[in-house]
Amino acid sequence: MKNFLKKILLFTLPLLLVAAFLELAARKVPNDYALKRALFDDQSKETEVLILGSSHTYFGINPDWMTQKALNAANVSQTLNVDACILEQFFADAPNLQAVILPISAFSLFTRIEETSEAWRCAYYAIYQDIHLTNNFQYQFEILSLAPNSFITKLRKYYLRGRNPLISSPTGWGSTFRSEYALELDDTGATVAKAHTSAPVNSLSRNKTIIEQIADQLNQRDIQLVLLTTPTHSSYYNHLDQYHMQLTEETCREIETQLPNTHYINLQTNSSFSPSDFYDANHLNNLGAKKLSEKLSQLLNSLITP
Amino acid sequence: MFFNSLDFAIFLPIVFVLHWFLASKGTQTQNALLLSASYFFYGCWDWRFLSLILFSTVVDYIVGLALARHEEQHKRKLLVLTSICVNLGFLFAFKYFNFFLDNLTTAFSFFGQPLPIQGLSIVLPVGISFYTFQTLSYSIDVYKRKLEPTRDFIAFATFVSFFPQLVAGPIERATHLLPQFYTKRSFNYSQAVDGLRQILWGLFKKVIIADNCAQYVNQVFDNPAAHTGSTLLLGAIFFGLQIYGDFSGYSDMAIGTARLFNIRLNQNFAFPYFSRDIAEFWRRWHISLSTWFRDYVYIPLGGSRGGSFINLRNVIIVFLLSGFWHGANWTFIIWGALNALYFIPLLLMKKHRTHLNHVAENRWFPSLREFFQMLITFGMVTLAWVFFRSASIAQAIEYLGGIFSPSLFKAPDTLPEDAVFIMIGIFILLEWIGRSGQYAIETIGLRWPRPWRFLFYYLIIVLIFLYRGIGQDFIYFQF
Repeated sequence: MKNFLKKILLFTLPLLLVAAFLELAARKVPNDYALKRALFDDQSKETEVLILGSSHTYFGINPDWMTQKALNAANVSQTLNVDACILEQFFADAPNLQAVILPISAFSLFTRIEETSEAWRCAYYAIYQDIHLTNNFQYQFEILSLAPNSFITKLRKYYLRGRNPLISSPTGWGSTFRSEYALELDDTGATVAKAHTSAPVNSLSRNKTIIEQIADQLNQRDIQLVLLTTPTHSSYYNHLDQYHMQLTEETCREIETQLPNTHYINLQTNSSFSPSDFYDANHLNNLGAKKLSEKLSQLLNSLITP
Repeated sequence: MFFNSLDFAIFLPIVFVLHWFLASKGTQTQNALLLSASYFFYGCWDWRFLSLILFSTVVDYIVGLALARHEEQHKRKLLVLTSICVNLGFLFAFKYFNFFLDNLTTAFSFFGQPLPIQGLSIVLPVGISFYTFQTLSYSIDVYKRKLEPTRDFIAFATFVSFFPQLVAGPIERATHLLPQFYTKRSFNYSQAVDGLRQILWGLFKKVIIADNCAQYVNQVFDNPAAHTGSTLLLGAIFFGLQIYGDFSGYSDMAIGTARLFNIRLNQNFAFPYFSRDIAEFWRRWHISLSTWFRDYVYIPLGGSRGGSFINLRNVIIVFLLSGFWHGANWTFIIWGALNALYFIPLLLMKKHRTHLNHVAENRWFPSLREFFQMLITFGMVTLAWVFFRSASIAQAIEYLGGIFSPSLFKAPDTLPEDAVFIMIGIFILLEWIGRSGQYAIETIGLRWPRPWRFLFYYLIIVLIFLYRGIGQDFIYFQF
């Protein structure tokens, strides 16, 4: 038995060492999750507006175009439960916080990141932002969470090609969706819209509770909560499941009426955004982001009492 | 807790070390540990259903003891019927109740008398079909006096719920597995090494072959109308590979895990896709289920003793039951019927026991005739898999209609990644080389010199890391 265990240990030791080496190498690669964590620590005290949410706000709201001191804490596929954790971390250390922008997209009320194909991102939240969304041991390590191809590509791009993987600006905005690289809008809309409204609706009540808790928490300090549906192209919103959209609209309106500090702004079909403002059917590009950020800034000016 | 999960990678070494650490305390203590570990393992799926296993265990234990006390045939019959009714009753309630209800309401609606009955929302307990059959084999064998009933409750409970094979087999017989829980188990180095090797191979089959094939299969089966006939054919072939990789991979991991505790489970798959006819395929595919039906259904019904008609009837019953065992859906029954249809001509021509050895025994390559025999058998099995995989008979017919359309001769409109083809090539090659063993890489482990052997294991592990597919549930857990 001892001999067996010794040999197993000797056999697995090189594997464990290589795995540990690769994990450490991966953690040395700069990433937007670690960057955002550093931004929270550096800027929380002076931040007036905190932007939460998924890629819709990550790429869609650029704090540089806002008159308030804002910080974009959104990230790709970030769901409401993650937003709640970020706000929890941020809240006590943000004495000047006056408003929080929480995007309500077609999928927001029906998904949680740990239950989707994007669950691998849980490892990033756990390692770099100290947000533990699941007890799954796998999501404590990048090497076990990322798809092998993505993991190898990440290391190769950084160490062999010297590419900087960071895409966030110093205020947290995702800067890569440039107008000059925009995708064909009509091609991208329908497929994404169907995928975004394909989740079963049974997560609605727990996600609604999260929003209500956030609204409650903010209300205690008279901080405004803006529930925002970002602009999308017709090829996207025309293909969304109507039942999902109806539930979303009703839920947001209900929460809005419950608490005086909560405001629901639906810009999904807003006509002031033209095709040239979109990167793809459901994301704004840098031009669209400028437009949306300025619009929100004006709105916040009217909501925030001096 | 899946075999290919990190949870299991932590759970197994703990149980393994504790089990051998307790060796000096006696077999009963080791059994108690295995029983606790098995209940914990099952409880991780759904602790509520532990009561079901426990109830089945207690009933069959008591029935076994009662059978030992009674000599009168009518009392013995009553006792074994109690065991059968309790076990199959659970199976019916959880697995088949809604199916019968649906069909009943459909039938009444057809005759213009709709029934105002709603189906129940029932969660199927994981592995119920497997452990039910296993525990039933005990009662029946004791009734038939093939086995002495056990007085050791812990050993019996461990036999019913032994975690490596609890949720997806192999379905063990009490005559084979139960005595292993009575005798002293001491650590066996070569068994343990062999067990680990078999686990590694099972993992390769599941994570590389099954999970990678599954991605393509799901894509094709989700929308058959959108694909060419050639794509649909490829999708069906990939499903054949997926289900083999998935189920035989699970069996390999189960057998390997049991070997770590010096417990031998029966071989469940013997390279079925190298079969030269459908009869050989069924001797090599899911062996533990086929032999269960042979011993507890086919033979009690009269087997081949009552002439050709009775034999034919019994074979058809066994195939239909085998299909129905897999799930409460007409697709599985059709799948069973189709396999019966393939088998009957061989039976009538008395050619169903032609191929009892391995293909190309003592040769590197099969003859051209053998090659085509294997190809035709694989083709027939693949077409039957379409029913197995489809959600409904209508979908299966649509799928098969799509295959046999002019677009069969067009290039596939979508293909898996090249790496998947390479992995499948490596897999088939290794299976072919190792086809005389219990599992493909057994001979590599026994014959290759250590440096080459270790290099090979490292290579398999690296391949598993690099090419692992997106994790899918084990298909057979739903049965």
